[in-house]
Amino acid sequence: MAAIVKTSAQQPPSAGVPVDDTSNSNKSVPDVTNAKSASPRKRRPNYAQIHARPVPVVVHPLPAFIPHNPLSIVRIAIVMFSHSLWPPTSHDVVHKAYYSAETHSIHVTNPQSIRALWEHGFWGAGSLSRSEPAWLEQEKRKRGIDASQTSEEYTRKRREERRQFKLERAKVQRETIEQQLRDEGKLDASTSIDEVVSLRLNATVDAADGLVDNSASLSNGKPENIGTLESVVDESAHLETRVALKDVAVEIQDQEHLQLTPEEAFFLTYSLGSLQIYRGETALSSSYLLRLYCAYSAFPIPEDAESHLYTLYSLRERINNFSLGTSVIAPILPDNAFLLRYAVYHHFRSLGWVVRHGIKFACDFLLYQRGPVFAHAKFAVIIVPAYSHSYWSETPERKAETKAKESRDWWWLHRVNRVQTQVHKTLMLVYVEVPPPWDESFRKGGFAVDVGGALKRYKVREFIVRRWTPNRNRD
Amino acid sequence: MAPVAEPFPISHITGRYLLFDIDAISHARREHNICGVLVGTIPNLSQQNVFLGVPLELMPEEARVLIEQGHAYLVDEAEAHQTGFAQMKREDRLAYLQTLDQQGLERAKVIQERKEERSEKVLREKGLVPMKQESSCVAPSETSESTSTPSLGIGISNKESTAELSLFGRPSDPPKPVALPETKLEAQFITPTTSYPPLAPRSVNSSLPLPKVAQNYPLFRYLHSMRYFSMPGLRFGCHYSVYPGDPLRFHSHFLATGIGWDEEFDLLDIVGGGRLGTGVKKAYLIGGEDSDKATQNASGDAPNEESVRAFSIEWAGL
Amino acid sequence: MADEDEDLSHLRGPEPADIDLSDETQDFRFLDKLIVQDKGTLSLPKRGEKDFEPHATSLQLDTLEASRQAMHNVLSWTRTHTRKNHILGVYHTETNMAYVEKIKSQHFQTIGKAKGNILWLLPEEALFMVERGTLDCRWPVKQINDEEHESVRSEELAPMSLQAAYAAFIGFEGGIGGKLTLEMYTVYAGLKRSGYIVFRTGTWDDERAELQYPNLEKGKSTKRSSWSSYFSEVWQRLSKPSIPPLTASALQFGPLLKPGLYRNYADIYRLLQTIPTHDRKAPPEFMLTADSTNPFRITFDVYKAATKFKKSERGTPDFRISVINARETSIPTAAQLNDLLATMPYDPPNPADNMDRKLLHGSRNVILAVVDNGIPSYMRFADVPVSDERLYERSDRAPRGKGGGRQYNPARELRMVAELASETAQKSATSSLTDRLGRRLKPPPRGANIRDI
Repeated sequence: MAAIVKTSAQQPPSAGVPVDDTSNSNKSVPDVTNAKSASPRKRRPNYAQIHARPVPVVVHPLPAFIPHNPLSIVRIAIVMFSHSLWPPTSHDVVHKAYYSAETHSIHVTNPQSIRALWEHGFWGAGSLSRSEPAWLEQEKRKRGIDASQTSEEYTRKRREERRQFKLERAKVQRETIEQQLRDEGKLDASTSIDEVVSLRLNATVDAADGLVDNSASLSNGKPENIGTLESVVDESAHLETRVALKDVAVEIQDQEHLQLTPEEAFFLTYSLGSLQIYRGETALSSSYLLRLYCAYSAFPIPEDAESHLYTLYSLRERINNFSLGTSVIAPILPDNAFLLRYAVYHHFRSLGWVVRHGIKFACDFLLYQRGPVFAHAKFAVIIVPAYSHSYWSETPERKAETKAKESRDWWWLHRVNRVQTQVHKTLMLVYVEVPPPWDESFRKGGFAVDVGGALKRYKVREFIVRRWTPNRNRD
Repeated sequence: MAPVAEPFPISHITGRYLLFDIDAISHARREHNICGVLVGTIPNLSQQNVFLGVPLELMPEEARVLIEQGHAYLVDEAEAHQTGFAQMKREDRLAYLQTLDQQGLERAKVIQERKEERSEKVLREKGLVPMKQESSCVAPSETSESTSTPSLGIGISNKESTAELSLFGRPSDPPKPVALPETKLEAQFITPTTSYPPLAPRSVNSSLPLPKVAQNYPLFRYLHSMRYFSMPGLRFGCHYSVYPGDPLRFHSHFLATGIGWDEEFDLLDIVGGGRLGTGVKKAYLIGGEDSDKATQNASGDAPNEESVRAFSIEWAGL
Repeated sequence: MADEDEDLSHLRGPEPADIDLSDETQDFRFLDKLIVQDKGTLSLPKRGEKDFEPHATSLQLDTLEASRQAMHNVLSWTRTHTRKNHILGVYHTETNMAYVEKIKSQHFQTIGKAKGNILWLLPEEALFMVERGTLDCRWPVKQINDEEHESVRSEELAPMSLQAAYAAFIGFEGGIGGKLTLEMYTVYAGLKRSGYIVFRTGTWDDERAELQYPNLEKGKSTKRSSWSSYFSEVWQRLSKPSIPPLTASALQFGPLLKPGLYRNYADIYRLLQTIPTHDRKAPPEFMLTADSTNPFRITFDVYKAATKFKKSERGTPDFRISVINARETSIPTAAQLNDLLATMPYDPPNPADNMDRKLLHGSRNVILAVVDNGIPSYMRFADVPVSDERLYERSDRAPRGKGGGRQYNPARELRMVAELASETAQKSATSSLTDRLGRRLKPPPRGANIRDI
């Protein structure tokens, strides 16, 4: 597969300068932290241009109508005429992907598709990157081809700087305590401080920061022995003294693919029609995909769930014709985790939010107004199932079961809220009403699922939770 | 700080455990690494929530640990006060009032002395010498408000005149022209902090049930045995924030949550816990008791192994 | 990349106003250094910061001892009343309240209920006054028949200690059917100390409060000039092509968006909105039956401090607080939260505000005071109609149409028209016009969809 060489320079936004989403992001942000770095000041890429399309669908607007400009009417007329005779298509390309049962995710391998999916809506994440597929660029850089920086490298550098600072500070603290002990006569020249008192100072620095980013060495295939300050210093020095090769068109095999979560893949397939999931040569229907994703969201997951399901799918005609007393296909439970997640995902995407996973911040989803390159996520979404329907309180067993599933304690809520507050996001609790069981396909005969009908049963209600302090609101 | 005899009483009021005796509060802190939460208003500092005073609210876990180890016992305060005060006998009441009057008077004296010291200091700085003066005696006529024949035969009703007469019996010198203003010694009214005295200390009542605790109790007990101080950690997102020393002087090291040995928890919760400590030098701690080991320990045949295990979680930042 | 950095917390510290000193135990030696800043935030100057861990230096031990001693001393202060500011109250056994005979203080501007010459205090009001040292409350005497029936003067009644006050006002509550718990009192006292005026919401005997119906006039924005809105409406209708509507089969089996001609992303997004959401503008309804054991009810009406406050004409509270015991109650279920918010007034944000502020405000909100063993934590829950904010309709996001630009540049206009014309000519050259016209009359092809079973 040919590598795509990115010609536009890429510079991550500087630390400490939160980007204001309402302003036009065409302005380049002054590079605050690069006082020490040797690389020249680079312009930030024009994100507004790169990510002009919010979804992988093309629109063809009419030219603007300007009342005082007669020619604009002519323009409009021409375009309308052209569109009616040669209707331009909205789906200029339908991307292909396949389901990976090992990783419970959907993989896209075509480089153009990877690029397009990332740029037109921030779908998925690079399997060897933090989010934007950037492995290839990193590789090139390691081999000295390109001089700019990916976000991983930038973060690694900054982390190293901070770790050094912390070690310095711990050393100073330790010395102060040592001095104090000496002054008090508890320590003489021969004994070391550790004999008198056990300090945790250094331990905390190591634990939190000492683990160096090993991804560099891992991708090369050789695990390096990193763990001490000295070796890290060597490594970064090594990188800098590496000879910068000329910009040779090196054919590096891109080992990275784009990973889509089931919600993202389902939205692209079922709602937008921009993605098609294949199993070998067969394109899979939305019904099948829904059953597949639901099967992998209900624990425990049987070993061969995917192949078993596919077998049933290939035999679906026969299943249709027999109405079996018992179901061959396990019905989708109404509170299946995938369904709840997808309902919320679809809800926010359809309002224009860019929705991404929230694992790093211990929440279900992160909501961005435009995308992660523009500004930090405003909201962290956590999904809470709600069993308000009378069906769930009809029997004591159901009551007990739902109580266990929907109850969460206040320590948990404060925990998630505090984590979000630390990273300047607002917590949004989204309650999803769980309908009574609706999957009766096995009875009516057939594999098919009325996807839209099923989704319409899930009602979503958003609440924003914030800490309130009495002091702040005095007057 | 007066020494405290053990076991000391813990006030039990509608299922909550409180300490009103300041000596007991300090004692629990020093000797048993139990710090509790101060929830009362400090008089004269009643417009802020940073410094709070007596009573100290103990967590049920803290009360239980103290009782189980024999350092404290429970007192049903509602019952004690019902029998003690609501049905108080007349003589006891009057004796109590007299004690309080005495205290009130002493207090007034102390304040008076302090005031005089301050004025002296001010005058001295200005180069003047204060005239020594006796406290003026308040003529009976001036105490018209409170003058009345003591209906109780003890003469407490007229606090002022009694005070004056009993302490300053002899006639005072005629007042000289003085720079200091005349001050009357007025006894103050006291609201005591505890009811013991006048109530007699209650004896240990083993029929009162042990404080009810949840499944995070073993973790608390374990951390307590390691000399850590624990405080309720709701605001930080954990059951307990755990300190290596007195929270007055130390930062907490752990944000601890106790769970059951076989309890299922969400992995995302561990991520959240790990992130909690990021940047604040704290680690998230979860722990619980292996119930099998606990029953083994209870039966007593095998050597006592620690049945609680604790695990700390930190964000690695790879 | 803006959000890549999960170490984000290092980049920006908390705002000074967000730091709540009561989160950590503070050193009593610095009691007198407490500063009140503007907006009521309290701060302590940074001095003698805490240590990370014990390191056996005498310095550390001495500091700890001094700190403990300071705390002990402050906590030993006795509550006294001078004759001048002495307020005498008497405990009333039957109702677990206290009454004051001679009302002469401005303390009672915001608390208590007067009945004739007597001012009655609720248990929390009385306890708070005793605790802050302004009320001298006395035990009443049981009139036993065989004793000489003399009315005992209030000054001769036995004073209640602080411990006694707690035992009575909180301990005896259950015995008379009262509802004050220690948690409610903790919240009450905390709010009073912060300077608020706090009242019980209604009588705590109601099963639940009333539904609050929305007054929809509040949320309406001012109308733009009708001519311009008329024209824009006309233009919108003209410029919309016939978008294939959402067919039943598309809804059932997907994809919702069939290939075709779409003029703008807003149309696409509108098509995709199929997940139902709660309608905040509709009149609220209770989802659960009334239950006196439901802990989610409004406990206190809270008012910000004001110089002229009339108990009788309080007006709408600034906040409504529901007190919850963290150890006994879980977070509210959807039904409980619905019912609680249904009793709160409909309070939409100002439509002129920016989107962030509108979302954070919500259409109804309530503050839950969650108490964990004496430590309250206030959480504001707001019902937020996220669907009211359509991101795709925001003008700064909509990509401009081809040949956009409002400035009239005749040369450029002509050039663009020429380009378009040649494009069209090219297209007609590659495929015969009649061909195209013929195909146009048939329904458009469906694209690469797999028809479902």
